[in-house]
Amino acid sequence: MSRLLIQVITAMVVASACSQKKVPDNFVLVNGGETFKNTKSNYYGKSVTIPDFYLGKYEVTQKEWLEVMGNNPSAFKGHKLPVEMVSWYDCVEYCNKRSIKEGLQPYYNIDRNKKDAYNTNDLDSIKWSVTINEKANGYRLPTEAEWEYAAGGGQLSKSYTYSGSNNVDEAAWYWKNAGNKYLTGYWAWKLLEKNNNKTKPVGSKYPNELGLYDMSGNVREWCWDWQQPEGTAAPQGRTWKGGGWIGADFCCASSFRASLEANGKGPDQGFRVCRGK
Amino acid sequence: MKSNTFLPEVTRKVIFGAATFMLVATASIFSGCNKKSTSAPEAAGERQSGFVKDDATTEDQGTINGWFWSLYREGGSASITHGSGGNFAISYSNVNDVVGGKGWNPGSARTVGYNVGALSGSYNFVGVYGWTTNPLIEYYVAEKGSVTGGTYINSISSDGHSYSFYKQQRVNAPSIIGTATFWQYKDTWGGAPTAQNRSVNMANHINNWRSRGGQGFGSYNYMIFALEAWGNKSGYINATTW
Repeated sequence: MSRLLIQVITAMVVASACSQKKVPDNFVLVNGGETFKNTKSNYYGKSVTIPDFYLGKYEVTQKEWLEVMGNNPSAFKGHKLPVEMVSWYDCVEYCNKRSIKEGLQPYYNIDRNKKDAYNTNDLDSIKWSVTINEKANGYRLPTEAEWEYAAGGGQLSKSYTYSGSNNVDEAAWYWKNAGNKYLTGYWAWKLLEKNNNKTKPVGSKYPNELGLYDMSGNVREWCWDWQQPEGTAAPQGRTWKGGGWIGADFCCASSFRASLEANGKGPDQGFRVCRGK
Repeated sequence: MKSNTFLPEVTRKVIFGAATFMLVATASIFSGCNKKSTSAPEAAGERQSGFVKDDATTEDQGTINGWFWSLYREGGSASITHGSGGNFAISYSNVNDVVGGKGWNPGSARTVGYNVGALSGSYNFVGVYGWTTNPLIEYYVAEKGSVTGGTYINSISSDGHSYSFYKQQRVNAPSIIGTATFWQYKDTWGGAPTAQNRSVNMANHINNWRSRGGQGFGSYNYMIFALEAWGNKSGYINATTW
């Protein structure tokens, strides 16, 4: 009798588990929605639908990069540190390689021989043509809207300015707190260098409402979207969000947006990956 | 086509000083400036009375009665002393580099008043420095010394003399928003006398940058009146800004 009971319970547990997709390790399920709850978002009050998706709990670490790409381009070395010195092209390549490695369908079509005619930035010497396989289940960069939705807390948003807090020092590693001592006064690169400012191990600040770490600060995160800054005639680069250890506090606000040439690299430029649900 | 040149190791000191007072080329040295006593003028609004902080640490930053300030030093020795309001004095000896000053956050198209009461020894730049965002612009107005490099654009007249405007693009360089590609706007006069109340009508500079810079001008971030000296220099400045 007891054996039968155990079998029934086991069957129920298995059935229950099969009816729900398991959230991949180190990912958070971001439940989508048709509205942005964060009142400080650029998308607040606008009609933008965000689908359910999985977003990396942390910025991609150097360990994760090394396992997939076989190299580590980072300026500051450490397995738990976020990877940096990676261009946007490097990151879409990483997404595809990791997808293949894990048996997922690559999300990007990368044509290295076809110059992207849309990309008119003379500083970008790569200009690979990159398109998407919308239905693929592989890794990809979040769109700017997805990123901002998640950083702002999604449907659980408390309308914080920074991801998870209104206090930038609680939420982010940025120019003032990312070195030997807390800097004040005005931003000056030499001061940051002298203060040994650098990246920090991922997940060492408080998470936001969704359990995501370092959406504000540490390294800036590439998004999929092009961006055309004010005063420019054409898109100049790909969007980054979140601010990093070099930048000022305002860059760490979830609503702040800026871009860099897609082939641009910096010791504060990294990314996190997402996947469709 | 420019290439991306960001260093693989940031901690190393590399020529990438875009962020602070990268006064490219032409480091004109004004040596032998007479040391004169400061006649600090009264400024509207921001001036504070009393001696606020005596003998600050060698290199530090902070905010004093609404003014923020910084002092950076590499090699040799340097110290900063704060008088009332926008007054500061920096003494430096055999420095590889020293940068220090006082200013506002945010900056504005204000008229920056200043009086370099005393200036002796060697230096590279004394003037107004700041940033805007969206677009990201780093700007300089050299009242003494010079800041050139890049492309000469035009000459503008302001405050009774002429400035040469140069613009230069920085690619993958550190900036107030992190690694960025941005433009520097650099106006040089260099002929300011000491111990006189002088002014920099920033609106004139900004209007010219807007119309001739080709990149527009963004939202104000900080703006300071500062000194920079590099290359084993020694000297002293006592200046007041308002």
